[in-house]
Amino acid sequence: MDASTKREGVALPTLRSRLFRRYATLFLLAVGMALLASGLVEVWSSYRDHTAWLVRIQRAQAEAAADKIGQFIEEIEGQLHWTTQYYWSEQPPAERQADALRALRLVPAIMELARLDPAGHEQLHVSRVTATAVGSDIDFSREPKFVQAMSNGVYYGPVYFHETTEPYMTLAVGRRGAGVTVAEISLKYIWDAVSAIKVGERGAAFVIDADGKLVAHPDLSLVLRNTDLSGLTQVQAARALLEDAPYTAQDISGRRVLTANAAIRRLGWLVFAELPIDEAYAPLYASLTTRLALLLGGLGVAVALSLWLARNMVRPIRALQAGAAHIGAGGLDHRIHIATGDELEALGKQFNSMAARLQDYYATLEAKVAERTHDLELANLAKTRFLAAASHDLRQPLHALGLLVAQLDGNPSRTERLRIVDQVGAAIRGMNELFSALLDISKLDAGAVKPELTAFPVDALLRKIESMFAPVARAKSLRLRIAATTAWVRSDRVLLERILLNLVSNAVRYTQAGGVVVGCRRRGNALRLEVWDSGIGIPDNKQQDIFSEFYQVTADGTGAGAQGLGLGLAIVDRLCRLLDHPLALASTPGKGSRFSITVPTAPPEAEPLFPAPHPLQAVLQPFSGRLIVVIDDDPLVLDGVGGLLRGWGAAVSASMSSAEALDRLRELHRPPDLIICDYHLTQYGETGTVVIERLRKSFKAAIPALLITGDVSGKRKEEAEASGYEILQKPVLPLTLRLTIIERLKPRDAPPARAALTPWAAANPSPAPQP
Amino acid sequence: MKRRDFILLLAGSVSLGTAAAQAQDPAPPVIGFLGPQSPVPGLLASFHRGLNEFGFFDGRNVAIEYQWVLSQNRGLPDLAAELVRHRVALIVCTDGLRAAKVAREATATIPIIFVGVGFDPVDNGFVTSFNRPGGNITGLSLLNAGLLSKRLDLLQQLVPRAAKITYLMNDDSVGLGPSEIKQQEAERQIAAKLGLVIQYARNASDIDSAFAEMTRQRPDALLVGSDPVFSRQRVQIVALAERYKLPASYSRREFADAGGLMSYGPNRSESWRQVGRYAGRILKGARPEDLPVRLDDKYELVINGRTATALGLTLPPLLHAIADDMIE
Repeated sequence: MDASTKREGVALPTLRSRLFRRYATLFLLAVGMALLASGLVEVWSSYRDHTAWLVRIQRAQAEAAADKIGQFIEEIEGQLHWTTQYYWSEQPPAERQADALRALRLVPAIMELARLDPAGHEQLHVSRVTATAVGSDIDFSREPKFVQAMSNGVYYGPVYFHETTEPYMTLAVGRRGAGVTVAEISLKYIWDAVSAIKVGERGAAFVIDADGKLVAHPDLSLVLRNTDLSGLTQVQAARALLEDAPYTAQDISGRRVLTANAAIRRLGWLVFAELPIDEAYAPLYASLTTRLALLLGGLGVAVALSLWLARNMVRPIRALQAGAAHIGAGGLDHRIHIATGDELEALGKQFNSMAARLQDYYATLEAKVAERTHDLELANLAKTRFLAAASHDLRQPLHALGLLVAQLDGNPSRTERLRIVDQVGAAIRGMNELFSALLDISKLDAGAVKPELTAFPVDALLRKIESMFAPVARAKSLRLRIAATTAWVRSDRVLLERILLNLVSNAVRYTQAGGVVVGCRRRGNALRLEVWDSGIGIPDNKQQDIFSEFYQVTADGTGAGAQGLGLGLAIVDRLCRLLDHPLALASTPGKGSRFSITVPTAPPEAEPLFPAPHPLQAVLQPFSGRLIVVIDDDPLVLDGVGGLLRGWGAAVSASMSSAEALDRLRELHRPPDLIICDYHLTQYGETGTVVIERLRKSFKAAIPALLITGDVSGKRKEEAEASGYEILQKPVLPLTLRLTIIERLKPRDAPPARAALTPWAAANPSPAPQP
Repeated sequence: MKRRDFILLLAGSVSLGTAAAQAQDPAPPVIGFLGPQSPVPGLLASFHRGLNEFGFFDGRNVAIEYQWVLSQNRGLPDLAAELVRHRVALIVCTDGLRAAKVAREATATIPIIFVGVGFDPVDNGFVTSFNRPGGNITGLSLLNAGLLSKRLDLLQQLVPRAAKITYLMNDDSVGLGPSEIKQQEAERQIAAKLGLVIQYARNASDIDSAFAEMTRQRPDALLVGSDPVFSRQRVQIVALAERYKLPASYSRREFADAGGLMSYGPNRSESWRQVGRYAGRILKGARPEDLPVRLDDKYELVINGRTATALGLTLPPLLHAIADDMIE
């Protein structure tokens, strides 16, 4: 059981969970609406069906009653017809009387019977309660009973009440030539028939006449009261012969009933069968209650079901949510467990694999960081070692300088002085060399050197190197042969020159006898430049080490008595790596060595000639043709600096103030190439910055400028540094001065800034020892 | 907890219901008959037939208590009081005004059905109207003064040569209401108009003397009124008529059954059936005030063939045909 399921709200989504609520509500709505809809539809349709069925039954009953009553009347009619069978004139009165009496006997419903002759006069009257009257001759010829009986054959009189309690009606039948028989019918018999009709438990059938008056009803008292029902809606509708008469209405006593009717055509009467609605719908209401209970039950089940379903749906989602939160908070070892066998489970697995990958990445990252840190530490160590070695090598010339300067103190002779100066120069040159080499290596290590690959004929390089080292080789009585080639290579011209230079320099230095050969060999689409020497050779176990910084090999295998700095090969190594020119070494101690680098060839192109001499010139003789303005209020300094500069080959205009300088320069008619100015010109109250600005403004050019200040610290140093010009601090070493000046004196049309190797280093390879 | 209470409630109500049902198993209702004499048995049978129609069967779910004044030792009031004391569900008064009056005085709550001949229930204050009696009394009534002409008609058909006809009637007005007296007077007038010779008799000895008088007057036929006294003395009257060889027409079929020549009157059997039905309805819960007073309207002609033959009369075929019953 992992942590996720222990969290509250994941295993059992509570009602507070919006998702749970939503799902539960949706399920419930879906099921509930379905239940409700089906239930309602069912109820409504069964209500309709039930009603229709009941109405049909009632109508059938009414029709049966109507039939019965119609038959009753018809039978009486039939009997009466027997009495009008014979023509009046043909029938003897006695017979007529006998017929009448017989009719009375046969039809209990007839109370009295009269015979009217064809003229409408009563000639016979028989009754159950009065004596037979013969020949009364009462004139009924205008009475409707006679008229209609003669014209239609039958007459149905209205219902009237005899002695106010007995319903009677007049029925007359007639025949042309036979007269009319008029009978008074007691309708108690109809009442019996109607009472016998069962309409449910509390329903009833009743009969109304053409005027809407009650003729027969189970409750006879209603009939005897002469109740008029023409006001009831169902009666009105039936009498109006409405097709779509409503089948619910109110009965006599105001109850709501289900009503159906049938007509007794011949009489114009209507038979109604009515059932109280509550009785009619009792079974329906019962089933409705059952249905409602079922519906509620169903809804209850639906509620439970929806809660359960929602819970099951929401639980994995919440597990996902909690798991994702956990992972997001940083718990990458957390795993989500979902086993629903569907897309959610797949999603959970995705989360897990994502967390696992994140874990791996972090681990790898940490490992990489550790590795990098280690590397950095190693590099740091290497740097420290490097610095240690450099500072060690630096001390030598400094030490020598100290000694030499001390010698000067002793007022040596002229010859001595010359020797000392030479040696001082040598020491300084050595230090300069070291610094340049160090700077180069730094630049290479920092990746600040960007090779510019061009295609060029390699022979030009070789010639240059030849001319450089020919004198040295001759001085050492070494043979120097450099092969000629027409090959073109793709490389960085300057860097390649430096490589060859260093290699050849090394070769010359470490060869005491024999010679140095530089050859070219084509190897596929590359050119192999080889530097052979017959020097002391390098033992196998030292072949890797020689490319390390400050490493020097001597004949006895130690570094004692070595010349040079030991950086040359280190530089070569780095340059070859930078240019991606493979560097190889083969050597036999005592016999010699062969260094080779492989350079890709390039198709020959139209010569963009060796770059303009200017840069070379600038590199080789940076001071020639240059005008430098020196302004200092100390005449000694002025003299010293000016002399130095002139010694280097520059034209100098020394002044003690800006005004003087401007005067002098105007005489010369040319703008200066450089301004060197003392920051603090106390005598004339100017600051160096101001002077420089004046001069620049005067010549309308941004002339390179240098400031020299004696202030070591304090406000004035800060001000000077804030001026933005390059500042040198007194005492300025000539070397430093020279380097800075060269730096400032950029060639007039030199290519854009490039972190090139220091011109000094390029122009002044480690020289061979002076003879 | 709630479920248990509900079950207890259910059990309790069921047991209560059965107990109540058992408690409600009452004695069957009792119908009390009150009258000067017992009615003809056939009529009682008709009454029972009517009762049966409503699901009441004597001995099963209804009991009948008969209080006839058999020997006139005890008066009707006493009998009525006894019925009331017995808490009968219904009192049926037979034969005449007096029984009904006595019953009405005895109770105003117990339903009363009267079977009356010859009195007007409205006039006598039994009911407010025929349609809606009001009160606790309803029943059957017959105003049959008009029957006289019909009966005469029929008699003349049977005895065509009868010229002088005597009408025997009861002129006793004791205990009669004003309408009854009016009716009596009307009867007398109709009889006179019809040309009948009127003889009065109030009791058995009067009947004897009336007949003695009639031998002197030598009528051709006799019409007997429908007084209950006469009905009680039917045997005597029929015997006298036979002795004097007098063709007589009566109003009740019991006369014909007893040997009288002919009778034409209300079909009592049918009427008693209707009374039985009314009794059934009242026992079922109908209120007397809602049951209208019925008029008898079924009449029957009964002819005693033997008597006719004995009198040497031949039946006309018509009469034969329209007779409802022939006694041979």
